[in-house]
Amino acid sequence: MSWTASAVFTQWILNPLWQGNAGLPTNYVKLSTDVAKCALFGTTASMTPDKNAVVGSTGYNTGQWVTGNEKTSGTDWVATGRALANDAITAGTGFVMYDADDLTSVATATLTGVAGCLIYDDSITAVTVADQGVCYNWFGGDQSVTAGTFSVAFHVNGVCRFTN
Amino acid sequence: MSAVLLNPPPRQWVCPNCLAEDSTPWDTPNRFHKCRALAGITAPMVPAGSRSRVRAVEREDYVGREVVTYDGNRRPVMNVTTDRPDGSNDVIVFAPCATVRMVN
Repeated sequence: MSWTASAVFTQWILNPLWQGNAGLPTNYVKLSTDVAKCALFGTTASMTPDKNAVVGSTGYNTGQWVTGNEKTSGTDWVATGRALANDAITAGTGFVMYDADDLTSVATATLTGVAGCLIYDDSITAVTVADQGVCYNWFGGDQSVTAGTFSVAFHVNGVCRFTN
Repeated sequence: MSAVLLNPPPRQWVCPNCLAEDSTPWDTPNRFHKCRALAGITAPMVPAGSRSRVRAVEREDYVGREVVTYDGNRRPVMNVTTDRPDGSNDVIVFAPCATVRMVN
């Protein structure tokens, strides 16, 4: 059991992205309009994220993403995570990407064993799964901070990206 | 009786690795630069005289097909950590990009 990669959930691509089965999730407009959040999870050895998980196990507080696996620090990095700001979907030659501003806690955070984050749509309430997961990003090792600032800097390629 | 400084002095920043220096308005919370001593990684400067340490931490696991952040020496970096003398620290995690590859 462990994190081994970053990935986009197959069920997110199925619905709402391609609307391949049931109707649109309740309250879903589009990812950049909805409230998207970044919740921290870990540790590397304690979870096994699965991009092919059934839809009911891809939401916040479901499957591997239950609050028991979440990493929080009081009001510095709250349970349910921090909302992404200035998130946008853009396209270029051979790619479509979803990106957002980097996230920074206040300067008194204490967190241990943060292995990665879940990016999810906090606006979705039903049809697929409430707070449906978009993707998860593995940090490559457990991260810890003591009485300081914890920042997540998203890659220049974005939070997630489709390439062809 | 207390006095209010109407024009506080600027804040002095220094990089403990490449020794770059900068000065910003007093209320600037942080200052970043591309550090030559850390192979071009964007790293924070620290308040002058704070005796803090800034280090780039290499990724602990294999890269595989992950889209990660590299420094100028093609070393995969997973975070930049600032260690303060009092035992506290700051961490900037470089989150890899989650990718979907469509073959056509």
